[in-house]
Amino acid sequence: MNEKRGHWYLLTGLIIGAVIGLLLSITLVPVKYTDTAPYYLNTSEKDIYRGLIAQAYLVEADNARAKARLELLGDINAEDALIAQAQQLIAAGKSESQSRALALLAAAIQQNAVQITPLPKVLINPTAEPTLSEPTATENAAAPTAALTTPAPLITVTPRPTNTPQPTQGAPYELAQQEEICDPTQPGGLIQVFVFNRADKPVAGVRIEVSIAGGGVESFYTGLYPEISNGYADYAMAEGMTYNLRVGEAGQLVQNLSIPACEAEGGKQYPGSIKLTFQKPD
Amino acid sequence: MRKARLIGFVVAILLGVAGGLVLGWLYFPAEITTTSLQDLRADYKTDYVLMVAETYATDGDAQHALDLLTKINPDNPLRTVQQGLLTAQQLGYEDWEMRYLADLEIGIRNYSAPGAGE
Repeated sequence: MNEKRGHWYLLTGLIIGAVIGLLLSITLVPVKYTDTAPYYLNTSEKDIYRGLIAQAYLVEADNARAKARLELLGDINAEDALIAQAQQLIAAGKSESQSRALALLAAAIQQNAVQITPLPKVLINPTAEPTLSEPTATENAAAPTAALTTPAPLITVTPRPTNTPQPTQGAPYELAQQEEICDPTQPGGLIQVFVFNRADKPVAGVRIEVSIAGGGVESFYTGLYPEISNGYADYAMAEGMTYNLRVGEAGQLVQNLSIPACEAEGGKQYPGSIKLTFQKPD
Repeated sequence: MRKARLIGFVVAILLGVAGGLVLGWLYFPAEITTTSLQDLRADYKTDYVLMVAETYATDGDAQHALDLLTKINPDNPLRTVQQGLLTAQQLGYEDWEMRYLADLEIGIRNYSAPGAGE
């Protein structure tokens, strides 16, 4: 009787075992990935990596390298990811320097022409030789074959990156709206510039040039205040001065800008600001 | 005979478990976007350390650098930099990059915070 059962019990055992094995592979002993690329990092560690890319960009000022590094993260839209992260940092009240770095890199990606001046090093106790000991880890590294150089002391300042003007391509920006802002709760004396493209999307990395009659010319860029708008930039005017402003290389010149005099209740005067909105024509 | 069948059944289950594990790991792997910085390949880790070194070179904040390096090696962040130096040499990093890494190694070594490495 028993002999007539055949060997189906073996197949049954295999199936039961396979199901158990599958469940184990998903729950208790999932596959462990090693030697992976940044693309496979979890979201929070991608943010760390992206932040470092932006800060390294300030040091290297190498657009191509920063882009190549960002591509490793596999973001669908690297620029959006940078700006979103910058905004999150600002909203959380965290590293302002990193949020600016992220915004600047986003601007550099959006407009290939943007170039920055690299940040200099600060002085960091460069007195001792680095020690190289053979690591116990078994990563793909060979023993050192050459001595390292002693780091040289450098200057001790940490200036902000400065943008080098580059040509802006396409149709010139035109002034769409100009208004005086009188708000005693806000700091006055600012030229607030908002730049939009044809699709009403804020544009980062646009060069704005401010000139003084008979004086010099200063330039700055949109995109450094993503917490306000990616297309926002501002300039602090001096009392009694008159300015001309141009957005882009061949944009419309807006003349005779000066601090508007606003009047509070009781007749007291205070400095207002000027809001300029620029857009590319259809 | 009954004992032989029992042994055969157990062996079949064990073979099935092995097959199921292989099947699960190869064809139904866990979500791959859960890996951490510790799992990066050595050359990516080295680039990460270089970026930390560049950040450190401009802000001089050893604690911040240490925090970032701990993401790669929680137990010994200094060893991460040393490993980075070795890999960078092997990969032919340029002198200025090696200098950044060397500066970081010195900075972390001199930093007296607990866990800075030996």
